[in-house]
Amino acid sequence: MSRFTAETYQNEFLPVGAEEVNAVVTVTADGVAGPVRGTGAAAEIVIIDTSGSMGMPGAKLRAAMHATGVAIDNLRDGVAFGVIAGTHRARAIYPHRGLVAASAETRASAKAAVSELKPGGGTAIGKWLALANSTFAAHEEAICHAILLTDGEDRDETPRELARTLEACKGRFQCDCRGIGTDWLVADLREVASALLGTVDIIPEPDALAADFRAMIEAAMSKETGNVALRLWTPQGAAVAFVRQVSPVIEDLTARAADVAAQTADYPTGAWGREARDYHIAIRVPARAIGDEMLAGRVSLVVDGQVSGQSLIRAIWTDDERLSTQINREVAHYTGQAELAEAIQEGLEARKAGDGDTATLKLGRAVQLAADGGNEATLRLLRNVVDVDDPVTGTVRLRHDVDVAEEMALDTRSTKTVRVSGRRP
Amino acid sequence: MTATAFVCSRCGAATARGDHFCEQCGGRLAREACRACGAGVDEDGFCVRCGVRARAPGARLEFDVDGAAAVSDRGRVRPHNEDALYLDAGGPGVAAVVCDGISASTNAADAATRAAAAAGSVLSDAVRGDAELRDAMATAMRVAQAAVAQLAVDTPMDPPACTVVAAVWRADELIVGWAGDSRAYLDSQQLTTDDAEAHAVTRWLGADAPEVPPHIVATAAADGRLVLCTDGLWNYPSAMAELRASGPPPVVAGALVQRALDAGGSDNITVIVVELPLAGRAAA
Repeated sequence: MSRFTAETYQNEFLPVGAEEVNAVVTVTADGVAGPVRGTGAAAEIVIIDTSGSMGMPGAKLRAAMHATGVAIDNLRDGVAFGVIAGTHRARAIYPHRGLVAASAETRASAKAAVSELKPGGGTAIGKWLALANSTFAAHEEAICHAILLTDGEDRDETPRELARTLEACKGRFQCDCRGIGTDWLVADLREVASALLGTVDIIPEPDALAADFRAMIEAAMSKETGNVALRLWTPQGAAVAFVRQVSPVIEDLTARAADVAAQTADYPTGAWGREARDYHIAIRVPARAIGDEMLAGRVSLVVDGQVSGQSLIRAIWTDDERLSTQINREVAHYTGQAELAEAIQEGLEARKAGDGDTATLKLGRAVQLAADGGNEATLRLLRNVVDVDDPVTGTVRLRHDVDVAEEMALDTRSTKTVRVSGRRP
Repeated sequence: MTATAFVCSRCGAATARGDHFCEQCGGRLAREACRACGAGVDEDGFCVRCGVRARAPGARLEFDVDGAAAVSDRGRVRPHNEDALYLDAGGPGVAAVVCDGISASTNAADAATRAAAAAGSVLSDAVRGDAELRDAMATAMRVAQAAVAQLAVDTPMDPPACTVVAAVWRADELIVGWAGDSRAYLDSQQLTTDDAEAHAVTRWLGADAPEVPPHIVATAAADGRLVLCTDGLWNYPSAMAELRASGPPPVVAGALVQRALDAGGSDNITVIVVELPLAGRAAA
């Protein structure tokens, strides 16, 4: 099991009367750098879309079948695994019931079953997830992970049905989502990935799918500790304004709070390998007198009820403006990163709705923030959507020759952040 | 002053400040309780309920024994607490010392700590033995002066310095010695005279101290409330108004310091409160 350490970055000095305390807490699992193969029990399900559209062109389904084979090949021996084919219903194609342990024979049988797949039918993502959920039920002790690939909109169920299924799956397994082509909705997959603590991305070209599946399996296999929760104690009379994962991607955890005691709540963070994540936490506290110091929050990591690693978020009220007016570098950086994600999403939304003025304003702001924050990858994606006249002032012009795949890539990757430069390698 | 209650960390029952055991479950009570809400204090020094800092390393020292209590608080402005104290009320009498490190000197906190410990241990031995208290006080002052002067070896150009006020009591004899502007009171009567002119002390302990013998006065005192304090307390008249407040020593000491903090707490604040005669060890 991983060892966790937590470290707080904040300016604890508040001006007279101030009531909001902001801090970035970096949580690190183990001190060892680089990915390693995990040792804990793991369960893996690959869910591939076999709806009719996957056959148009046929290269999509062929790429999905090949990528699934690559994923299976990269499973650690002994990992319980299975493959689900999804249409307007869900079908376990290997094995037909439950999961099997990965071995040379089971891998070969699984790939043989996958090679038989034919396109046909609709799309009901919730049904696929429900089958994965019931299959994982026999593997509660394992770190359960799924890969979900689709190419189309979730047409054959209502949004409410999907939401209900997601509610049932939350905390049971994690799911990374991929959209192939450009006919799927970023919002659909973001909803799934967000609820199931996974990632979302676009694979515009079928050729790139196999490499991406391998990377996802490697990441899943490197997880050593499942069901880790971030625990936050706050003083009586305080209110949590937000708890937001800000690195490696932005994910608002505020609504996921599960109260464990008065003044204490847990926020699920899923499985961890040897990695570091940053959280931006904002707490409203009753203002106190000059010179008073308060513990505004105590952050710890909880695994199976055991607390591991903790850090303090403090508040000290002062009338010394040299102290209180400084904004902590990490807090400022991630405030900008969150605004960047929001500006991109709102800008693209406005662009789709035909509101050119708002789109220009928001995407211009995004360019400015990306340039300022050192988000070079995001800046490159932004340049596919706007012509940049001046990144410092955020002066941009909307492009008219925008490639749909590039726009979707910008949307899905808008929440990907970079860390403060110079702080860590 | 608002009655601040300790809360028993075992059963949560409210208890009066100064109680040593919980009346409900009999558990030993933590000495510390949050000054803002009365709840317990965690290992980092924060209140477990309202989060307010109850203790910073070196920022506040608080203890009490039967019939006596001491509080030393950093105050609201100074970055460090350079006051020090010594209190022994566990024997047949009382040995108490309060020192105030002079901030203009280097190592002021060390000076105060050394002086209080040196003088205190001499007075403690005297109370527990049969030495003449007046002689013991003279020795205590000499030993304290030597201890602080010795610190100057490292910084001869800027020798560490502190004030001292010490009291030793046994039966009905009370001896007070001092150098500087830290004070002793019996009830509301000031026993000391300040060695100070225009806010600067004229006597102190340290390598560069003027070569004059320390003040030593004797008082016949079978009972009364003995208070030793630094100028961080007596500079606030509103705090000194609490000198005659009713209540056991921990309550009075807490109230005195709280008043000084409320009034601004511009300096370190240290106070020792002893109720004479000591409970259960009444003088003949």
